[in-house]
Amino acid sequence: MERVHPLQRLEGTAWTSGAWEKFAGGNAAAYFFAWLICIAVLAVSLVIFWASFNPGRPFELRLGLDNYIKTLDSALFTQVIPNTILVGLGTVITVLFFGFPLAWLLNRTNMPMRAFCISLIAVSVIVPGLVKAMGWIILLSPQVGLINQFLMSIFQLEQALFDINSIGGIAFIQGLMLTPTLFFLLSGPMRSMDPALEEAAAVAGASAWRSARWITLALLRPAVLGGIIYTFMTAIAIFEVAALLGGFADRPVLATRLYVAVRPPAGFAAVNYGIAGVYGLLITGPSLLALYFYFRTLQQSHRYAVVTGKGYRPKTYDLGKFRYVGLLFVLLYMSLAVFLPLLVLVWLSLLPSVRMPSSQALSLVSLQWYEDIFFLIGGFEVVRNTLVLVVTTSVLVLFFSFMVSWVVVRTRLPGRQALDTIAMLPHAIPGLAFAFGLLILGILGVRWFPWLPFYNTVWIMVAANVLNRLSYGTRITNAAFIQIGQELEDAAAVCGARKWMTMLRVIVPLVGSALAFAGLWTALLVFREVSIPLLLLGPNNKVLATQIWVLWESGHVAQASALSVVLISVMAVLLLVIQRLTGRIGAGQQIASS
Amino acid sequence: MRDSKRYLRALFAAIVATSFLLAVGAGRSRAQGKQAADSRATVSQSMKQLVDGARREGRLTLSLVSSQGAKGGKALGDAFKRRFGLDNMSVTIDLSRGSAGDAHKAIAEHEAGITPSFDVRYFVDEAVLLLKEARAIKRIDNWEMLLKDINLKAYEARNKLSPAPFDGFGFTFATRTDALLYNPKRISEKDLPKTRIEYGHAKYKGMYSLPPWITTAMFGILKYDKSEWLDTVRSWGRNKGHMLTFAAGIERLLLGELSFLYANAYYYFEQKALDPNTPIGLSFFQDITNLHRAMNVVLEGSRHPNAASLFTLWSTSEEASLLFQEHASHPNIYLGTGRISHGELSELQKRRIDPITWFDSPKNLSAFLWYETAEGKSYGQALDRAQREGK
Repeated sequence: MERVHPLQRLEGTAWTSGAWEKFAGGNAAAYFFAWLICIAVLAVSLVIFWASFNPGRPFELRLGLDNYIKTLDSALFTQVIPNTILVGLGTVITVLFFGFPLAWLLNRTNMPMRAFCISLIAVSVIVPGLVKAMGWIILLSPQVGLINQFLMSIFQLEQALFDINSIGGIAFIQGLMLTPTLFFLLSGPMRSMDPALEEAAAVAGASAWRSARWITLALLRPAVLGGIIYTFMTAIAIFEVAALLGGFADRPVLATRLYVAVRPPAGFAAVNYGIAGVYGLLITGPSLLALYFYFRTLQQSHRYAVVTGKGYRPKTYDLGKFRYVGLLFVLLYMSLAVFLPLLVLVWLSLLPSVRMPSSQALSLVSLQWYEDIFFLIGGFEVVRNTLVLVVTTSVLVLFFSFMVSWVVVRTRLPGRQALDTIAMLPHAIPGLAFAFGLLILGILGVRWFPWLPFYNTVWIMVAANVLNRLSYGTRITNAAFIQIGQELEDAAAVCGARKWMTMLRVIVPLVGSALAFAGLWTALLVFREVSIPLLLLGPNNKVLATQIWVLWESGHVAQASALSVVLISVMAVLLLVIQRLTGRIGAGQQIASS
Repeated sequence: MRDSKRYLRALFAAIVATSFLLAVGAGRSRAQGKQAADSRATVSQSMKQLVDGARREGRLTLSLVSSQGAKGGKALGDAFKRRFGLDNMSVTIDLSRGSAGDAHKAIAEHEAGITPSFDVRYFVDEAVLLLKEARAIKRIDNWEMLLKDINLKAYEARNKLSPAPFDGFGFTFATRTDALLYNPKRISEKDLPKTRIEYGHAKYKGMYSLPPWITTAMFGILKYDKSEWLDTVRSWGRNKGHMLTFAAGIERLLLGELSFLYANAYYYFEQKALDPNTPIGLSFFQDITNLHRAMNVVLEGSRHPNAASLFTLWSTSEEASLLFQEHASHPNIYLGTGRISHGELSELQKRRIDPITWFDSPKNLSAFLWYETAEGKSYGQALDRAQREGK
């Protein structure tokens, strides 16, 4: 975790000819692009902040506290904020319940089929939360949910045991959604953990439990804390699951309030951009607090850094006869997160409309929606937009993350700490808020630069996603750069290589696998992202994720299910093929210790 | 002070009522005058100019009700092109629009002075009035004569399809009648609440959902005293099972999680078309059955105004209505053509129900406009809270 010494230092401050080159010492391009993206982050953040004080339309220059007065009602403090916090905490608990054991079982034990299980967990990411929630309504609805009905008949109960339409239900689904993230966050530290301390504990007579508690857990503390904070910040900004299970008004959370402020579900209620800005800031508040603790955790992580990640092979625990119990736990998670909801979706996709399983419903089974799949997708334009969105966003996130991390980790240029903090800011601001900020900038942009292809195009979605994923990208690239010794750069410099050549020919190949992993992961997350594209949707920038949402929202659940099944199947096959070709997905160690 | 407020309110209502009557009268006399003056040849010339203009423009970007689906959207676009010989026209159809948010986004685009995202968009009648007030939509000149050329039946129903407050600004392509939909496996028709008042009865606790908007609840003041009505909506709020959009509520109804709910009648026909044995029944409240018009409008400053006007007018025709019914199960009871329109009309007639809208009379319109006043806004907020929280 030690910072690398810089090759170049600032030699004087006079801005003469070539002063810029002297100042940046071959890092000028990196410095420029790093600040470019960070200024963009700041600009959009500023728009959200400004909008919260603007009681009028986005382009009116009025300021006031009206939006805050309207927003800060009693329901906000008695319902919305408590619900949001409960959803965040509940999600964290679910994620820890599944994520920590999974990371341990698949990285530190001799459980069978580990590689296959890791692939399955990676594949589970592609199942959108919306789709999981749709499946779980059928399973755990209090009145008709299949699992509830089964339990009620077995135990002769009068009331259902579970209600998925609750804060607990939202937290459960979001927890299943975010478990893979924690899994991969913990996999790195677990794999690179020095076994010496555990061996010493064993020699000293400590039981496996005591060793796990006082050595393993203690060493993992920064990673776990980082994961908890990351999960909480993500959980309170997710909108679609809360909208589906909590309705827009039954169990409101800040994310659904923000969405409704910009896109009221019906009627002729006013869109209130200013109030959306206030909700955006309200989500940002606790996230910034979490971010503060996140940075504090990182600052203290050197105390735990007894290993460098090189030259060690962590101890593998022998589970003995419990090996298959571990496998069952993995299968339990996969069943809850993927198989069961997917099974429900397959069932629904074969019916004309929503039905509970019955012999009568069985007689209605057909492939009619699969025959209409081209129409459900929305045509080639939608596929093209999705590809452009996913690929371009991934490439740009990698590029800008590389530039930011280069400046932050491998130089001593002034402002690099600020760059690192700004790059992490998008994680504190929900994607919806970024989308909202860009929507306002888009409208203003068309007004001032009508020739600019931005508003109502796929590029506005790309911009929102790049900004939103920057924090994630830079965590991976930071971690990757930290692991590379300075001597390689020095050798390249001695051989006369220019800085950009060193970057391209020496550093990129070394961090290539981390970049590939980050790119693929970003692509998957962007592919399943619903809220950002929904807010920025125009006539010509539809993408696949929004098609599913629109079908569901208009009551076409069977069609939405058919489309989901097809997309998940295609993505799963693609992912497995890529994994087979690269053998790297799921390794995940690069994300870990940032 | 109180007297002066009352006086101002009365004055406001009188102005609104007079404007409404003048608009109706002016519209009719204008139409009659033009009918007498314009020859058939002149009208055809206008039509020809419009079609030629649309052909020159070569493109059209429009939003449709999402339930129309991509297949239905294509069918509609193809039929439109076929009808006017616009084979080379490129029609872009968006199915994700129509919410109130989009009306405000359209107004924001208009006020920002930028070209609207769409040429034609659909909105419910209330939102169309909002857009008209904001001058964000365009009136189609000579629309009555053009409509006569497009479809005679639509022309005959013109006073219902584009009534006085809209008068050439908004055109009804579908109607949404509020109905009581129920799952016969959970409750029989005779056990359903008969009136909106009964809907909030404690014996129905948890059996229905309410939508997260108050457009239906707002109609209550046309029949009941405001304070009595607010108490009624509170009782709904206390006894509701969930708060869900109509589409989501229908899903729960079909699953058997809910017993009944009020929603648009077309959901009944939609589900029955998918499977005649679907457990869904159709009934109506005896006290208030409200109706919303789904209207197409041409956005002010649209890129392709001729194509937009032509499509908007054509969307009221029998040919278009049949396609809306086939793919989106959206009837147009003002036009009365097609299976679903007939079905809904016959259900209404059987029960002797005449659906009400805000635009049927000056009294109704002034009640609607009252919601725009400070007092009305405050009442609307109270309705919203009553429905959400039962308080």
